[in-house]
Amino acid sequence: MSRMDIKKRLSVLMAGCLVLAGAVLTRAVFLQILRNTQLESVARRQFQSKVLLRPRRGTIQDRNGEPLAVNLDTNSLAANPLRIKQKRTMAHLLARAAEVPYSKVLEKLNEKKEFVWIKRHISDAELNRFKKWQIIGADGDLMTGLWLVKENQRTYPHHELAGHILGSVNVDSEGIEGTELWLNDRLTGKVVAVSAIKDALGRPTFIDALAAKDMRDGEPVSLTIDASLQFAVEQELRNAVLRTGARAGSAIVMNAENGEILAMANDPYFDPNHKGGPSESRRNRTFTDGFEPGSIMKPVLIASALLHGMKLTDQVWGERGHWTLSGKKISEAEAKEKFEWINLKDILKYSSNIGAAKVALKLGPDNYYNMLHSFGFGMRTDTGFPGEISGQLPPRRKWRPLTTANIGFGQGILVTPIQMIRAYAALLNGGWLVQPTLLQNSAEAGVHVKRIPPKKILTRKVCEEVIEALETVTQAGGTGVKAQLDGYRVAGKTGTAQVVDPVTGTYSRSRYFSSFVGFPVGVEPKIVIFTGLDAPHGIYFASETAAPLFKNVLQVVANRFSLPTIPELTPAQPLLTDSKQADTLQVSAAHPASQDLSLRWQGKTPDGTLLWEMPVLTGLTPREAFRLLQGHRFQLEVHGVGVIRNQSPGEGKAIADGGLVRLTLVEP
Amino acid sequence: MPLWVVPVMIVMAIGTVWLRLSMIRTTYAIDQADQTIRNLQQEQEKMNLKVTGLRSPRRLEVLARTKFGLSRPRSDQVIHLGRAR
Repeated sequence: MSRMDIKKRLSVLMAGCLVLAGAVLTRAVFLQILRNTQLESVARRQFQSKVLLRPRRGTIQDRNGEPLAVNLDTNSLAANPLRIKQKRTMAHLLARAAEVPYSKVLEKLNEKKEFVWIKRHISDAELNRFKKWQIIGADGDLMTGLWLVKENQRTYPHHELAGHILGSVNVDSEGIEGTELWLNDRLTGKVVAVSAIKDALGRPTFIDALAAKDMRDGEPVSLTIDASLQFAVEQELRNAVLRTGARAGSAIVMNAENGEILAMANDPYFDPNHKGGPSESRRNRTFTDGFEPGSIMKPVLIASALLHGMKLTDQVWGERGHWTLSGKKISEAEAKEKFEWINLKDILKYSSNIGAAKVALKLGPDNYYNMLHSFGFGMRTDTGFPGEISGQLPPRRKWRPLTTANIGFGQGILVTPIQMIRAYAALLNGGWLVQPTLLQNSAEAGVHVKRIPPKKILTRKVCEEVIEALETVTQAGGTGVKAQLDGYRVAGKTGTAQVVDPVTGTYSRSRYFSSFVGFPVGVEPKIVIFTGLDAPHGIYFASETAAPLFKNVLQVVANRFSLPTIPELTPAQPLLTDSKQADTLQVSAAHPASQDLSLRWQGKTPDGTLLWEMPVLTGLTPREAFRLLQGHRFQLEVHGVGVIRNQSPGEGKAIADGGLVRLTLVEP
Repeated sequence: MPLWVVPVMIVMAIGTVWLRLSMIRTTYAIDQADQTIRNLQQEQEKMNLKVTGLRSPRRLEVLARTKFGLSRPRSDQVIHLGRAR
């Protein structure tokens, strides 16, 4: 080959290289300098990602800050089916480890997606199994195509306590019932999506901190419920439902002056930590279920009649137990009741249906309808709680004389327990219709609650007269004797209403709704209580079912709020009567029986504080002394054990309400 | 171009890379600290939940009835010195 040929060939090679270099350079310029949106998006996808910053759901607590719904961090197992090769083996392993059906796991792994959930909210036991079976390696890494996602799980630490009020959330922590649904927006907070730069392993590193600041955790919610009281009321309700064999039951405790609901129990009950279950157990019947109230409607009628000029002493003819109106027979609840002339007070005491029907007719349909309307029947209370129904008050144009008479004794009208307790609260608080509320500081709740200011619907005088009549219900001869609690003046009304049989469309002869609504009189705070039992078996009368339940609920309310007893109504407590306690009997004997042990009123201080004369306490046990001193907010300072040796102030000295009493004890 | 520009540029290039690596290291450290905080918060939540469970009215009732033989007081056994405020 000549020198010329070699030179020629080198030139061609050089030219080829130059062309190639030019092409590479051109391509480089094309890729690096010229704008290419497609390539830009590929690069962005490679280095950047969107990260969803999920806020923590707000907690729900009771009026004293006791947590009722909290969050717990848990792990959820996710997979990328496109990166899993031996799908059947993996499905088999995961199904056993996570306790999920094999077919479901396999179905998920066969999906043409980059992300599927295998199991949400895995337990510690399952996590340990994952580690044991090498699904999670010793270094914490998972098998290819699997990863753990940290999530918040809603937890209800007291289980079924107040379950009907709290409601529950779905697997994505979104409220689906109860308060969780009602205040979902407030509890959820604000989710933000921020951009982040990924590292070589795909982990987000540089997060847009400015955008992240927009994330807002859910706000905590304080309910008006008192957890301890709620528990005690739930227990009492459960016992009553068991004892009476009732199909269901409800109980509400409400502050009559501000409408705060202190306890609200339903049975059957449920644990919000567990998903599913029948709606029978999950719904809050106090809001969602209507019932014909029966005789508990009579105080509303009597209050309406008194407001329109009638008097408690006014009488109507009782028709000796049977009365036919518009071809329909109206009878008393019990055949033995054959009233002749009966006054308004006794209509309540003996729960006369015919008497109530006649008063309703005398009051007139217009007046009675308007009064029922002003009491809020036929309308939601607008607490905002999901599922609340309005009940049913027949439209005025449909009222016939029989309608008026029936509604007089609580048939032919549908009410909810929350409406009923609100009506009684108006009787107790001097005539103000207050809005029931489950939220403390409900003003902060904004859109979730339609605030309705209290409305004056009755005069104080009317309320006092109705209360006077209602007190006779729990006294000897009344229908609510078993609602009476020693030490308290109790006013209330029993109601045993027939229930419409959904099959026949007529009143059932075997199913009744028994209820009692009432309150202790003359104590602060003013507390009103509703108890209702649906279809109790055997003796179904409210006097034997709902009234004893009321008494038990009142007992726990009295204990919880230290409602002061009225000494005259408290059964005499014999001093140390237990004959088995020989030593205490000696003490009793040591105390001169002739001495007056009661606390005597001495006068008033210039600022109006009551002054009392100190009784002789020496020789008494502390319990005996406390019983004597109760109800005056005395500050007690007790030293030692045994019986009282010294007291300060001394016998006969004056002491003001709230004053300090020092007691020194010695062993007998 | 003067010769000193070359070492200056090399130093600047190394400096840029070092800075970038430092940022990444710091980010990982922050991430690690965040993770520690989250773990501790998680632990605290678990403990709080345990405390709440321990003082739950149901548990206390069961303990009171079974372990200590207590029962709910009757109205005449309760002495109210004054109203709860």
